[in-house]
Amino acid sequence: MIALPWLKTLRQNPIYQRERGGWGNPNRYYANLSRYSPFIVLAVIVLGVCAGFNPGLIAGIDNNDALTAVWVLLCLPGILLTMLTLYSSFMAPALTAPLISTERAHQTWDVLRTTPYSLNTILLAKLFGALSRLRIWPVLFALTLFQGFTLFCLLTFLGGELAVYGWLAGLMTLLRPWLEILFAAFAGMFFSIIVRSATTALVGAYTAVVLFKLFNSNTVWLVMANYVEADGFLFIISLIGPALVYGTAVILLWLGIVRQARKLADE
Amino acid sequence: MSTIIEFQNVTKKYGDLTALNDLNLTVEEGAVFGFIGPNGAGKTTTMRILTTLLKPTGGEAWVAGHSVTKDPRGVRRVIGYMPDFFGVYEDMKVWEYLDFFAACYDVPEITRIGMVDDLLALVDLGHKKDAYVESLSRGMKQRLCLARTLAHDPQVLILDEPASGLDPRARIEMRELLQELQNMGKTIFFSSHILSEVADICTSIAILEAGNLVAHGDMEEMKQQLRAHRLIQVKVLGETTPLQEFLLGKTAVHSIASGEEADLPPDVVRFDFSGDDESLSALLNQMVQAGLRIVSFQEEIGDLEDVFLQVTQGIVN
Repeated sequence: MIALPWLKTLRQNPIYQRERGGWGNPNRYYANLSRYSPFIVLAVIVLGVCAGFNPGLIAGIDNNDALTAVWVLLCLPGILLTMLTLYSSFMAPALTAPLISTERAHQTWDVLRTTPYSLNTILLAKLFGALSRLRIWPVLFALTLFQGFTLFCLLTFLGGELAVYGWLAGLMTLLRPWLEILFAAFAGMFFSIIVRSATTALVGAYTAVVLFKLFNSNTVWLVMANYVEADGFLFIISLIGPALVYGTAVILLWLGIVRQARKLADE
Repeated sequence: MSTIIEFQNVTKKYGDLTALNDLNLTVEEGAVFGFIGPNGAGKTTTMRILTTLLKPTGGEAWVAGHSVTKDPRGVRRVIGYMPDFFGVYEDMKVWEYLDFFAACYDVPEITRIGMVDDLLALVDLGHKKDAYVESLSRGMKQRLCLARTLAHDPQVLILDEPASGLDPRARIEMRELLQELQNMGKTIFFSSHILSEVADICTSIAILEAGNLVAHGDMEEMKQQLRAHRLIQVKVLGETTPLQEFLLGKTAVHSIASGEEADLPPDVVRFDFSGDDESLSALLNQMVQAGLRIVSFQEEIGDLEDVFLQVTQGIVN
């Protein structure tokens, strides 16, 4: 309930509106990247189709016909969700990496800091203002809700041990795409605050995103669970692990952003 | 007049380095306050503390009654700040730049339209209203930045080296602009390296060296106080010898100098006088009564450079 007035105030904030393009054109990186977006979308479709088969789910299917039906039902929205997450993870750093580094490089950060907004408000207004340029949020919301809810319902109705999986699979499907995109956005902003060059910040953010994609996937978690012979928990671990790591990283990155911004103010 | 800016025992340390040491200072409302000192003296640190960008290690400062540590947002509402290395949003148009900052200070949209025009007229940039900021010259950007500081009609303007890097014409324009702002009743707190510029427009000054306040006060009073002896120059008709002989017997007169050795014309005598205006007037009267043919009798007025050189020792942090 408190979040709604806060969100309304944030949307009226001129710093938020500027990041949306209300005054001038603050982000040339995003503008340039948008020009190549058809190619990005194409690459994302290919990668999305390749990565759209949830290994955790496949591992749990075996010869269960009911689970196979679930998999088929969830396949298309799953692929769409994967594509959307990939696309947003690629675009989000381009939106957030120049946020602070450009202000610092152009020596406008101090002037912005003397406006009557708190440091946290400035950071949040910039972050949300920039991310609001990504026009994926309603679709992402609908897809995650559909996927999560379907998984939750189907696996719960199948009963038994699978009911627990249903809860977890639903929750993780709901959270993980958001956490992945937030991670990409926060990584961009974190690098933006520690370096003066937006290009360097962008490179840093993409490196973090790629490393997390490679080493924080369901497959890696499955392999790890197999290695420690945690058979009974294979499915759970492969579902929870990546989202948990992304969630922790998002919290740590935000704390890092605020800490660095305070340090920056005291330089 | 009431105090609008006050520093009480303000100290700022960076590790072992003391950038600002126990600063105590007040600025009256409506004053044009010049803050001078060599590089590394602590001027920018002081200004950053005053603008809430930097927290002091010790002490407290207030602007228009708002504490810089306890009520930073209150302070920001009453100040307009122009940093020494200022930047502008080059992707914006000139009017957008002012409009954006006015919006940041909650100036209603309906008011902003007319206000932007007024501000641009004040800084003589009305003809550049629709130009992109990146197309402006440095002097124009500096004026635009000054206009930005006025967007929310603040009581106090804090300007760090407002004329640095400007050509002579732009410098004169900036000085005239500051005088106009003073006439509008704004309190201006500004730092500068250019002493003549400070002397021209300031009502009071403070001199900072290696983080320590070495002198401050009303401009004229300071010049007066810092002068140990008054320096008097007397021009006579013909020989200066009779005048020098006359002065030798006077107790308030010291260090009589004349001729080429003192780098003076042959008909001029210069001496130190340690007395008030009344005794100086009496001395002149005695000279006339003694039959000395005086052409001119004047006190050398020391400028801000003299004051600066007297109170500073060239110590750099």
